[in-house]
Amino acid sequence: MIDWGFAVQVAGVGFIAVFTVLGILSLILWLVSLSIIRVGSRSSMIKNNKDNFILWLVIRVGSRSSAVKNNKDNFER
Amino acid sequence: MLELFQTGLSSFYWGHFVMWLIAFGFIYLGIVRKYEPLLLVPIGFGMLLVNLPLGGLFDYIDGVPEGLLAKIFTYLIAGEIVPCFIFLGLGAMTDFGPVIANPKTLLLGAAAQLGVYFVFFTALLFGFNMKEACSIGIIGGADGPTTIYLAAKLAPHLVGTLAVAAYSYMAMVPLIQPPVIKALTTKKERAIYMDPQLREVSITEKTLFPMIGSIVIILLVPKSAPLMGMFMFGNLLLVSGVTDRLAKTASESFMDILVILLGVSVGASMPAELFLKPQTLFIFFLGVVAFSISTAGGVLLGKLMNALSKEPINPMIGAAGVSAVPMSARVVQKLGQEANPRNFLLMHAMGPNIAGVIGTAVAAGMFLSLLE
Repeated sequence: MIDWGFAVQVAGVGFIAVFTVLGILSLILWLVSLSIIRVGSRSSMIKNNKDNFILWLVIRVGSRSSAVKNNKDNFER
Repeated sequence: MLELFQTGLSSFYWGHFVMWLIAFGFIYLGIVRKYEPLLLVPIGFGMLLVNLPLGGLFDYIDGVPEGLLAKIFTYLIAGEIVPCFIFLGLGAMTDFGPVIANPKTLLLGAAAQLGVYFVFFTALLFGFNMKEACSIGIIGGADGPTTIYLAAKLAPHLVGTLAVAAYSYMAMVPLIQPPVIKALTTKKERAIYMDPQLREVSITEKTLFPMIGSIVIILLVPKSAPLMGMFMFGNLLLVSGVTDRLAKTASESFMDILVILLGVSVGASMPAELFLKPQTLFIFFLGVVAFSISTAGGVLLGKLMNALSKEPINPMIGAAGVSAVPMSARVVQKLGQEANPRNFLLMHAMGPNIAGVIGTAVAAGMFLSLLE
């Protein structure tokens, strides 16, 4: 004799569990991917800013030292 | 002179001849039609060998395996070793990129388990007990190793029949799926264009996936651990970048050895006395039903997702939610190109296809949790 109540429970719980497990996995994957992409873009932004800062510094220091050199030449003259 | 009673001819009956024809059919499909030759040729030859009377390859004495193929089948196949290690090889071959790039396709893999539960009820209606019904239903997932794994635990007397059914239908995906897909979709839906370029997935994401996947799936469904654990481990070997040798072995030579052992012994589990029974033929019929309903489940969720999503989704990719990797994805690609030559759906279909493998293993794990 088949226990139909139990059969419905087995099928119902099983099918819902498959959706739940894959749904949760899908959500976690999406969140992990999102955070990795965000962290990746943030670090590349920081790196770009750092590169820009160093470039700015090089230009500033370069122009300052050339100005100093010019002033020195003028003074000597 | 060899007496007639010492030859196999003395034990020969018409059933053996029918099984020869079926074996020739499998070998023909494999060699001439190129339908999954790596599976159908060993299965067909195993079937032929076991139906040569008095060969003794699949003999049992008092329940103890005596024949060569009986030993392989009992200890390695029904003993769950080969199915789980096949998952290791599958993991080492699988690129999870499409799933990671588009995680919502995992849901299509879940919907494509519909046939499993439909046939579970159908089998119960036709007099099979609960454990047999679960084992028959799981054919709907189109996953050979999972079918064998579950049947070995719940209905060991059906392992041979179910294994042959599952592998036969996996090989016949190109014949079974297209009519179901065409019946449920319009030509306009089949022609829906999807951008073939998926997001590029970083190596960090790919490396994290097997670990995250194992934690989530095995924590929620512990009984899926042997299959999912091996699957994810195999994938970690592939993506880690430092275990290339192990990944290569797992996916090539080791996998080939497993397929040889599995194919020939599964074929050998089909002697005429067992196979030519109404119950076996009915199980084969239920297998086709399970497979078709699973395909339909995936397509219907694909249609729903297309209706709800901002970006167009070709509903056919849902059909790849059955876990016949990569055959069903190829079927979707072919039908997609027939409807719209610009369409390249293969990568989109691989997502649900891989999700189907996970979904079937989870469904099997749930059956074991509830019934074992």
